[in-house]
Amino acid sequence: MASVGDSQETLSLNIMPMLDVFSILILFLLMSFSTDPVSHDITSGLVIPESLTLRSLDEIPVITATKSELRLADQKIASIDPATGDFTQADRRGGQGALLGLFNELNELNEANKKRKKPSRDDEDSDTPPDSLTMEIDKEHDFVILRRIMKSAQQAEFIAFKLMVTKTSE
Amino acid sequence: MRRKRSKISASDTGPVELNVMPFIDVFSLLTTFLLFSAVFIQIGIIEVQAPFFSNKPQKDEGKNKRLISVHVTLEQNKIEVETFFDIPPRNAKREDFALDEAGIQEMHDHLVEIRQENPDTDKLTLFVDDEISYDNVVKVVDAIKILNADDPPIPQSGSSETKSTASHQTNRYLYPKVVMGNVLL
Repeated sequence: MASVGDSQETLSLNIMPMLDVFSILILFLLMSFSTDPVSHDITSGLVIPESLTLRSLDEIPVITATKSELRLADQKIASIDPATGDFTQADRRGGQGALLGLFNELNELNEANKKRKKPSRDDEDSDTPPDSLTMEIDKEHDFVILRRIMKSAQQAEFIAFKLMVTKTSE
Repeated sequence: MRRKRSKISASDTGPVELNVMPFIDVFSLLTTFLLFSAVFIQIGIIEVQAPFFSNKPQKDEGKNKRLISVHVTLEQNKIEVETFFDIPPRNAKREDFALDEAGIQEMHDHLVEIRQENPDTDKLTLFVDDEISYDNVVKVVDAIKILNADDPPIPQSGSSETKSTASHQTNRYLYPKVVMGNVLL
């Protein structure tokens, strides 16, 4: 292909090893190609726990508890005091163990969901699953954070929760 | 046709070289696309419930059945498993395990035994102390919900027909319904 000086010798690049590497890389990428219905990047500065769960993420998380704050759909709702590992006094005030701010927001969300849903005749007898909330919570937090979030949500008629985790194998 | 063939064979004197450049182009593009769209961390979910009050009437088939209730309590360094029947005699039993990897595995084995003896109950209530880390809660919920590959199969509840058709592979859950009991407290 390229001739060196006056000599008639031709140098050719052996691309077969490169093709081998490419093939293996493509095979690996195709095997690990995610077919999950939803793809979501974990919030920066937040580490979610590992789990053997079989279920994949099927909706974008609504509630995010980072190391320092609680967010509902990217809107800051409350602050977490790193010294106590709990929500600040101001955020807990008037909530009777729950978070008043979060309850108000979720209640509005629930009312909007109710209006959107078409009322059916056998609504009370139906076995349709209740509205669920997907939560992305830092693994360093204590259960008290989860309990207060769940209590606020439960009072706003959300009783099913999906806890976001990193899938691991046994 | 015959003339053409003879022409080709006549000119076919040197070695034939395969042009692999388009092939490499396609490979490069495919690799770039796959690298960009690859998700290297697989994200999953664990489903749990909060307790709630309901005025929905109980189904007739379960009305007169003597069902077992299973409560798991996570305390500082301790897991407590309590079982009792809702209709007397209650036969209340309690077992304690350490809140570490070995203890969680022992608790899992104990729950497998309970579920094997009482396949009709697929719900478990979990009580967690406020100081327990979320990471440990998830580990315990994993041990409660998911059957390991080496666990014995759980007998299927229901008719004999369902029992015979259901295989161990389809039933990979130990207690699929986990209710966070102390959320309301």
